[in-house]
Amino acid sequence: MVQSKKQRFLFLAFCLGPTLLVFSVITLYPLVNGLYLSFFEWSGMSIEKTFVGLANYEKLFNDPIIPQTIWHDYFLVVTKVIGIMVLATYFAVALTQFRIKEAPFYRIVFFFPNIMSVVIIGILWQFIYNPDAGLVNSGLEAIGLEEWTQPWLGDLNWALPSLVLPSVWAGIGLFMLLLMGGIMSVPKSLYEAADLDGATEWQQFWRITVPMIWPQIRVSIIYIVITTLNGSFIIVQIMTRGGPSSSTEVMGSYLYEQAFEQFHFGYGAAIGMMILVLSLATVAVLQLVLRRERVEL
Amino acid sequence: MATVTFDQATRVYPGTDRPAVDKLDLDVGDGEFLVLVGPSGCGKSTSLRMLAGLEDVNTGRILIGDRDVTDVPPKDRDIAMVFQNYALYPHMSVSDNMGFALKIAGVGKEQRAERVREAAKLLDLEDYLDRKPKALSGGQRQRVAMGRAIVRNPRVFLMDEPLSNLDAKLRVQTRTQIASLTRRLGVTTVYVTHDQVEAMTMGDRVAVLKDGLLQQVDTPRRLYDHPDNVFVAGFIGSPAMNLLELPVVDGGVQFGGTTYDTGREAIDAASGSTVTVGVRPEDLVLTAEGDGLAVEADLVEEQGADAFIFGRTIVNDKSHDIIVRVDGRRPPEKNSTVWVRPQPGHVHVFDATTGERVGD
Repeated sequence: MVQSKKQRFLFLAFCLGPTLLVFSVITLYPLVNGLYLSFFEWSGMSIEKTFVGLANYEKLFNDPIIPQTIWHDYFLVVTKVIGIMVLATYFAVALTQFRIKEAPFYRIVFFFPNIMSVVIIGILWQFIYNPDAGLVNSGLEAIGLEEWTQPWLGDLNWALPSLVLPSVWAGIGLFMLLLMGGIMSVPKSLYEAADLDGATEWQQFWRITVPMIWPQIRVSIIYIVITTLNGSFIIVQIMTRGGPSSSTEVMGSYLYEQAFEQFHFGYGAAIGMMILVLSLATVAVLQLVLRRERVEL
Repeated sequence: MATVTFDQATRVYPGTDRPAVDKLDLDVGDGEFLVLVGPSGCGKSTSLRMLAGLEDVNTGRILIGDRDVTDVPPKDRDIAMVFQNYALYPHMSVSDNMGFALKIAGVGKEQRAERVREAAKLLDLEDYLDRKPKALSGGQRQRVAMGRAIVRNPRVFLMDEPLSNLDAKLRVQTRTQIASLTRRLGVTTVYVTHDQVEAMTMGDRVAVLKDGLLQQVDTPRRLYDHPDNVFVAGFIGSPAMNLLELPVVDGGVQFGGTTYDTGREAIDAASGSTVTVGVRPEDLVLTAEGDGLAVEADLVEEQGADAFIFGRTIVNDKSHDIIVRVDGRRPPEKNSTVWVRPQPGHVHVFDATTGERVGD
């Protein structure tokens, strides 16, 4: 269809205008405002803001809690990526390749946590970890492993690892579906050819399935990393509130504590900037590491 | 090298009653090029996949050489297969594709490269060894698929419609290349196609299947000249053989105005008062008015050397389509009526009910 230049411009403006507006209001403005606030000392309520220059960043570099929160976040990132990817891939392969009759049922079961609010998941797992009546401890007692029982979320060493399980459990379904989509689009004849070529199921997985679904694997990993760095706050806030004694404090929960509980808004904004920079840097590195030539059929 | 034997091999897909392949008995000689041909759904691909081990054999046996491979996994059958869509590994280079089986088998890098190079030379692929399949043309991909089979030096080649993704011109070229290549290598080949021209030009022998049942297995010439039943008669040859249901009379069959002598045995063997008579378009000759069958020429297709009359004839008040090949320089007018008669010795007689050949 032939369009006049003006028509074309109007159409593009009509499409892009609302997007630009929304993007400006909910992404661009907070970003710039956050950067702006990080140079101030502000309680978040008073009219007065005091310009302090780079003082908040100086504080950031000298705060002994900060390295801990970074380490806790990356601990969650690494364990979640490994846990979710291994299990999601395993289930995706099982549900597509092994001809399980009840596959649709399992697909729903695994996806179920994804339609539940993280708040509910957090509360649910709080019950499971409950030292007295929780499933974990009573289970251990039932099989005679009483010495293994822990206060889990209340233990300095066990609280952070205990957060991994609910996070992984909540994440498997979505990535399983994503990987299943990838696996199902691999032509069946490739596996038949590999069968004839003498490749075992294991070799077929590593030499055909993995390279063929690499784009999905890459997207999954990056997505898990981003959502963990930005969103680990929720599960921490629900289950441990950063405790006991900062042992589960993550960057997000520390930001919340500083800005909204102790009313150091400027410092909170500086932490926010740190999360942004770390997220961007991590994703950039991942993009580079996970880059592979695109496979086209 | 090896022979291949299907011994009453049957495949019934789960959830269906009718076998996809029904008690197939077939012997393929050592070094022979056998073509399986038939319309879609006839069981030709299933038969090939049973031989490959990609499909279960429900009853019966399959042997490669003297070895019963019915329950042997594909990788241990010492066969190589060329798939319809080539099934090249998209993430591997041409040489990796060709060498994959050797790599899995633990063949050393040097030896692997050597064998890949040899096959590439044979197929004119030497310049493309480092490319990925997506950077190749359809014909080149097809050759890589062939190369992957050749590199393994198998006892049997299996080919599942390997030319159907190529354009018409390339298909004709590649057809001859494949036939001469497999003959030169002397490897037993089982080749599946739905294209009867491919079957006739490539096969040492051709097996015709329909509805999971083997109809006839013979040399191309014999299939053409001596079809065992009405299906084979109609399937082999282009344009197709004319099949007319004609009344039996004393001394032969009533061919319009004349009686064609089919011989006593044919008439005796037939079960009814009519028989199905098959005559190829080139075996009909134009005659004088009143002699033989009257044909209404609906369309005359001039192809240069030959012309084909696509017309209708009335037998027993029933209209039959009929095709006649005539001299391309003197074709009859469209919508005219011509009279035709079969050349003696080129008539096929089939039982009108069973469709089996009863004489000629």
